[in-house]
Formats: sequence, structure tokens, C-alpha cells
Amino acid sequence: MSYNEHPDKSNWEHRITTKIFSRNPAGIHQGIYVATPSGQLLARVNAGWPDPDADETLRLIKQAVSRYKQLPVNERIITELPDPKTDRLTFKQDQFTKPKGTLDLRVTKRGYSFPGMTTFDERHPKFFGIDRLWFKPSEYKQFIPRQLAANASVSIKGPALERWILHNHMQKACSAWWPEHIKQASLTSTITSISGDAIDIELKGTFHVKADSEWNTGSYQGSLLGKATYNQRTREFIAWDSVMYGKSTLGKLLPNAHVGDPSQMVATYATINPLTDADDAMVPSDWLYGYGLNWCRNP
Amino acid sequence: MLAALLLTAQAPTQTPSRLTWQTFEQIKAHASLQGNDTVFQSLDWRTRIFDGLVAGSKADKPVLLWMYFGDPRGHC
Repeated sequence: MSYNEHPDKSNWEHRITTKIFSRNPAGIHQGIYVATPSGQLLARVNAGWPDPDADETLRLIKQAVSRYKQLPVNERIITELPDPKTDRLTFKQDQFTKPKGTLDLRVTKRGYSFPGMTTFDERHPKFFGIDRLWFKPSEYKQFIPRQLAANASVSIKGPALERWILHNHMQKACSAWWPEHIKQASLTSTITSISGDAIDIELKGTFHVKADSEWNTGSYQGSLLGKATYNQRTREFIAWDSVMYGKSTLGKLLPNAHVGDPSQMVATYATINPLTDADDAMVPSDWLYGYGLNWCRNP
Repeated sequence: MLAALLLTAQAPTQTPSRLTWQTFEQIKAHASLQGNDTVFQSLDWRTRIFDGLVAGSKADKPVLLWMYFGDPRGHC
């Protein structure tokens, strides 16, 4: 959430956040901290970079907890609880919700070794990426051929094809991709078998993307294979197992994020999100520009 | 057995030449979550400072704040 940019500076949540970071040299700044519920910063506890130092972080957390226990109770807790209706900030993201019946895929990705890599670079195989890839029923029905028979196939178009690329699911870094950067893309769904209500499909795709914008001159060349099962009675996918694999090349190495060769092979795996309960607060990382509020408001 | 496991863990992952049904599982395994990748999700995270402070106050416990500009998944 963008606390720094929120316009309602008089709101309780904004005021207490400002209070917590009032003695932090950088103000409200990214990092890992321990604070009292009353709004007193106890410690900044993230240690080690780019390789986190878990032992030092644990020591700092224990030190902060010890400081917390030394404070009188009325100084460490909120003496008058705020009203969530009026004292809680509202953000645009609060309005972005998962439409009913959405095919909710969990996407995980990891790059392979490349020359000159270090853990300074987010593309290092030590780091994984995790995201959500959502398709509304009006979008995912495209994956099912009209003729419900073995070997029937359909060519996927539009968001169900482009979202794999435009939302960076095929590479470890995040770049600005536009539809015109997709030089070639094909994704075919073929029915392999039908058993009762269950329709098994096989997915095969290829992608060639090359950007030439002010923000991105990178490229990607790769392919996709997958298997999924659709229940034609409940009209939902009950299984999904797809893999993308290809060469990702950054057009420009960011000085604060990248080092070494601009190219690497990247593996991406998509499956039905196992965490679909209320605790799963993760929305697609590209929710604002990739999906937008209109997307979730119009099934 | 332990030595063998350690050697396996330290061996660099082979980069497959291309994606086929023969390499599908190997590439899938590389992209899949491993070990403690999502252990952070075992904590009872709240997505808002408001919710965390109120919960901490009710439990009389300090609050761990993970502040990130944008999204912790990257700079998209």
C-alpha cells in the first residue's frame, strides 16, 4: 500500500503510520520493523543484503520484544481503539476483487543460472517468483473447443493468450510489455479425452516477444505445454498443470537490480491456486494496469 | 545418505535444451515452490497497518511491519 502517497494525511491510520516512522531517518520507508501498537518504532530488523542474515534479524527482533516488555502497558497498546469505518485508510486496491467463478491460477517461476550472476540480481535461481493469473469465465471458456469431442481443438486469442506475456509470467524480472511487442504467439487447446463431465485438454503454445519502447527493449522466446481438466457440468476447471520455458533477455540491466548476462532461461509453472480461502490476500501483481477495476466489475 | 543428499542439493540444475513432454516434469520442478519458499505465509499477516496495530493492541504484542514500496513480488 502506498502510505506515502495517500492524500488523506489526517486519517488515524496515516497519522499513526507517520508517528511510527517519525524517528526513522528515511520516514515511511520500506524495510522490516518492529513497533508497538501505540505507534512507537522499536527497531528496524532486516539485516544482511542482498543475502538476508536470519540470525541477526532474530537477534534484533528479540531485542525489540524485550524493549516492548519494559514499556508500561498504557504506553505500548492503543488506549482508545480506532473505528474501522472512519479511521482506516481506503486504497484503490481495496476495490479490486476476484470475480465470482474466476479461474485462479498460482504462478511460480524461477530462472536458471546465467554468466556473471550473483544474489544481487533478482533473476538468481535462489529467488522464486509467485503471482496469480486470473481468467474470468468469459475468458477461460475459450480454452474449451466448441466441438466436445476428442482431438477437437481451438486456437486461443485475446487476453487468455496475451496475459501470459503481458503480465510478465514468462520472465523473472518485471518489464513493460504491450500487445504490439508480441511478434508471434500461438496457443492451442486440444481435447484429449472426455469422461463423464470431465473434459481433458492439452495446451501447446509458442511465444516470440520483442519490445522497443522507452521503458523496455527486452525480448522473450519460449513455449508452453500443459494439461487441464474442465468440468462441463459445473463449468469450471478442476485441474491445471502448465509449464512455460524460454529465453528471457533484458534490454537494459537496472543498476539496482541486475548484474551479469542479460539473458537467462526461465521456467514458469501454473496450477490451480491451493490458497483460495479468505486468508489468501494475494491478487495478481499486475492488478492495476494489467487487469484494472473495470475488469473485476464486469463479469 | 546425508552426504548424498547434500551433494544433490548443491549440484547446479541442468538447463534443459527445450520444453517437451519429456522435460516437462523437470522444468516444472525447477519452477515449483521448494523447501521453505512460502514459510512466510505461515505468519498471520494483515495487509494493512491499521489491522495489524489493532490486532497487536488487543493481544498486547508488538507488531512486525514488512513495509514495501509497491509489491514485495517485484517492481512491476
